[in-house]
Amino acid sequence: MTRTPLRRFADYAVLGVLAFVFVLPVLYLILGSFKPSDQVLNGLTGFLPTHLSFDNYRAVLSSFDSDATGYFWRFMGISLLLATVVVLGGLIVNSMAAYGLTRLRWRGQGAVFALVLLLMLVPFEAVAVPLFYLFNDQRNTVWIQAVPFIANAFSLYQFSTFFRAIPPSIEEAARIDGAGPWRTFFAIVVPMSKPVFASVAILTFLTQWGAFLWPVLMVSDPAVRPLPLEMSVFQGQMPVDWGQVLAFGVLLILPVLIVFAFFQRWFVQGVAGSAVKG
Amino acid sequence: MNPGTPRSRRTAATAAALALPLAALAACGGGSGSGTSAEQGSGTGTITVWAHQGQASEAAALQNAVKTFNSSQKKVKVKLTLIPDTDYTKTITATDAARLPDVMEFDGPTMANFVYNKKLAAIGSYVSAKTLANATPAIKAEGSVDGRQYGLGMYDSGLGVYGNKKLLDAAGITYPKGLSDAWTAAEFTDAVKKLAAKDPDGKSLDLQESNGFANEWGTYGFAPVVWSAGGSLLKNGKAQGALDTPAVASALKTFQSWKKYTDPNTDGNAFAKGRVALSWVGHWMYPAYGKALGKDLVVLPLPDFGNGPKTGQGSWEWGIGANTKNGKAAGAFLDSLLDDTNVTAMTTANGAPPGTRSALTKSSLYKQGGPLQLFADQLAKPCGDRDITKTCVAVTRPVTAGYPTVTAKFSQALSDVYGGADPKTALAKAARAIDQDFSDNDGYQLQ
Repeated sequence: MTRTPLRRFADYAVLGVLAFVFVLPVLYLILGSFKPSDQVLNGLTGFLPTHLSFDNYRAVLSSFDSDATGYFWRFMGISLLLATVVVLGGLIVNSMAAYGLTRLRWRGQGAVFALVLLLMLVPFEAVAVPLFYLFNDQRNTVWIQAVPFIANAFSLYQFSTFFRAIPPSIEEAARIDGAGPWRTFFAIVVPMSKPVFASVAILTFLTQWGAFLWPVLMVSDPAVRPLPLEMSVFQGQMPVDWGQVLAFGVLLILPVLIVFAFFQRWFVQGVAGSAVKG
Repeated sequence: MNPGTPRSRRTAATAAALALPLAALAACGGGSGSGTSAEQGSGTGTITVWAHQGQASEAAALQNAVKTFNSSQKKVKVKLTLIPDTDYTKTITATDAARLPDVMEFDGPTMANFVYNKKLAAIGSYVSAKTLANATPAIKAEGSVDGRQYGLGMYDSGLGVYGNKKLLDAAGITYPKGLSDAWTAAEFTDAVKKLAAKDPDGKSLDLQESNGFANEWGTYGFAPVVWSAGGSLLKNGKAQGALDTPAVASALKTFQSWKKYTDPNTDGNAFAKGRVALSWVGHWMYPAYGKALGKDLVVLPLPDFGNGPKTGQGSWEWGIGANTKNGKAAGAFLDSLLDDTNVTAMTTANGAPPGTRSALTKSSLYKQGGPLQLFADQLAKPCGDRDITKTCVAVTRPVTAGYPTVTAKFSQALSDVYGGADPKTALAKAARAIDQDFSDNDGYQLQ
C-alpha cells in the first residue's frame, strides 16, 4: 500500500512536532550554557541566541583546577573508567550467565533463573543501605563503584530473551562437530548476538554514566569521584548560576551523545528486537 | 544557610531519604557527644581538612587561606579537600567518625547531630581564647551545645525584605528605616496589597517560591514568622504547645494570604527586573540586587507579628573531628582561618556578614552606615535558640540532634499552608510528628 502525498505530509508533520518537543530541552540546555545566568530562565526568550560566550564553560573548568577541588578531566576519566569496566564486565558476566541459565540443561535451572529475574523487582534504593554497611570499609575506591554493578539481572534477562530465539539446531550442529559449551558460546552464539550486546552495552553505559546515589554514599575523595557528583557544586549555593549548571550539563552529556551517535543503529535494532522478543 | 537544590529531584530526594536512615542508624550509637577521643598531639605534621565547595569565589578564598597558612610556617601542613555543596552533609553523615578529617566545615543546623553522633570534638581546648572572644555572639550561640563550643564560623547570615524604592514611592508607601520601626504584619500585608494594585500582573512580592518551601529554605526563611508570633519550633524539647499555638496559626494564615500577590519568580529575576517591589530573602542576594537597582535598593527588616521582628541566622561553621590526633595543629589552623585577613577575604568573596567582631566593624557592607547595616544590627541582638524575647532579633534554629526532623516537619507544614491547607491542622500535625520522633529517641539527649 502506498501513502498519498497528503498522508506523507501529515506523517512528517506529526513526527516533526514530536522531534521538536524531544529536542527542545537539549536545545535549551545548549543555548543556556552559553548565556549569562540572568538570561537563562527567561521564558521563551531563553531560546534566543543572545549574549553568547564561553564564560560558563571557563567558569566550570576553573572550578576544578586544584588538588583540593580535583580536576575536571580526571572526574571525566574516572566516569569513563567506571563505565568501561561495568560495560565490559557486564557483557562478559551477564551474557555467560544468561547462556548458562537459558541454553544449558542442569537441575534447578528454572528455579535459579526465576530467582535471578525476581531481582529485577528490587530497586537499588532498597538495598543501598545494607550495601553501604557491607562495603563501608571500601569507601573511596574505584572498584567499589564498579563491581556491585557488573552482574545485572536486567542485562541477563535481555541476553536470555535473545539467546532463546537462536535456533537450537545451530548449537546441536556445533556440538556434533565437537564443540563444547565454552566454544559454542564464544565461537557461535556471541557472533550471532551482536545486536543484544550493543543494546546491553549502551543501556549499561547510560545507567552507569549517570550513576549518582551509590557514589554519593561511598565516595568523598576527589581522586576517585565520578563526574555527575560534581554537578552539585553549581546547585548548592544561592543564587544558583544557571548558566554554569547548564554548561556542566552539556559537558556531562557530551560523551553520551558521542556514544549514541556511533551506536545509534545498533541501539535502535537492539532495543526494538528485545522489545519484540520480550 | 544552605537551601540545597537537587541534581534531579528524584535522585536527591532518594539520597536524602537514605541519608536520614543512615543518620538514624548512626544515631543508635550516639548520645554521648562529649565522649570523643580527640588528642592534643604534637602540634606538628599534616592535618586533613574538609570543606564544602560552593561558589567559586568562596572556594578560591579558602584555598588561598590554606596556601597562606602552609607557607607562613613549617610546623603544620594542611591538606584541603573540597566536596560539592549538596553532597557535603551526606558525606559526613555516611563517614565513620574514625575516618573524618582533623578539621571540617559543617552547616550550622547539622552540628548538634554530629555532636550527638560523636563526630565533633569541643574546640575550647584547641583554639585560642582570642579567637573564641572575637566570635560574634550569634556565631557563638549557633556553635555551642550544652555550654560547650563545637563550632565557629567565618561568616553568618541574615534575612530581610529588599525593597524597590522607586516602586514604593510611586505607590505612596512609607517604609521602615530600621529595626525600631519595622512594619507590623498588617502594615506589610497592606503594602503588598497596595503595590499589587499598581502592578500590571497584580504580583508585588517575591518569597523565593521557586525554591519550594518543603526544604531548608522553608524553615530558614519563614521560621521568623513563627518566632515573631511568639511561637517556637521547639521549646524544652517539645513542639506541641510551642509550634501549634493560635498566634502562630494566625501568623501562617497571614503568610498564606500573600500567595495571590506573590510572583513565582521561576526565572529568579522578579525583583531585579522590577516585576515586584518587595523580595523576602537573605543577604546573599545583595550583590545581584545592588547591581540591578543601585540607589533604588532599600533593605528592610522582616515584619513584626507581635513579638518583635525576627531573622534567621547561621551558616557554615568550622569544627574539629572527634578523633583527631593533632588537636593542637587543628586549633592553630582554625586560629589562622578566623583571623581578620581570612574572614575579610571570605566575606568579600561571598558578601556574607563576617562572623568575627573585628572583621564586622571593618566591613564596608555591614559597618555602621554601610548598605547592609540592618543585617549587622539584627545579628547584634541574638536570641540563641531558646530565649526568644521581644527585644532580641537573630534566632538560631534549634540546636538539637533531632533538627533534621524538626525542619522536615515544619517546612512541610509551611509548604502545605502555602498550598492552601488549614494552618492550625498543618501545625498540629507537624508538632505531633516532631514530638513523636523526639519521644522515640529519648529527646536526643546528650549524656
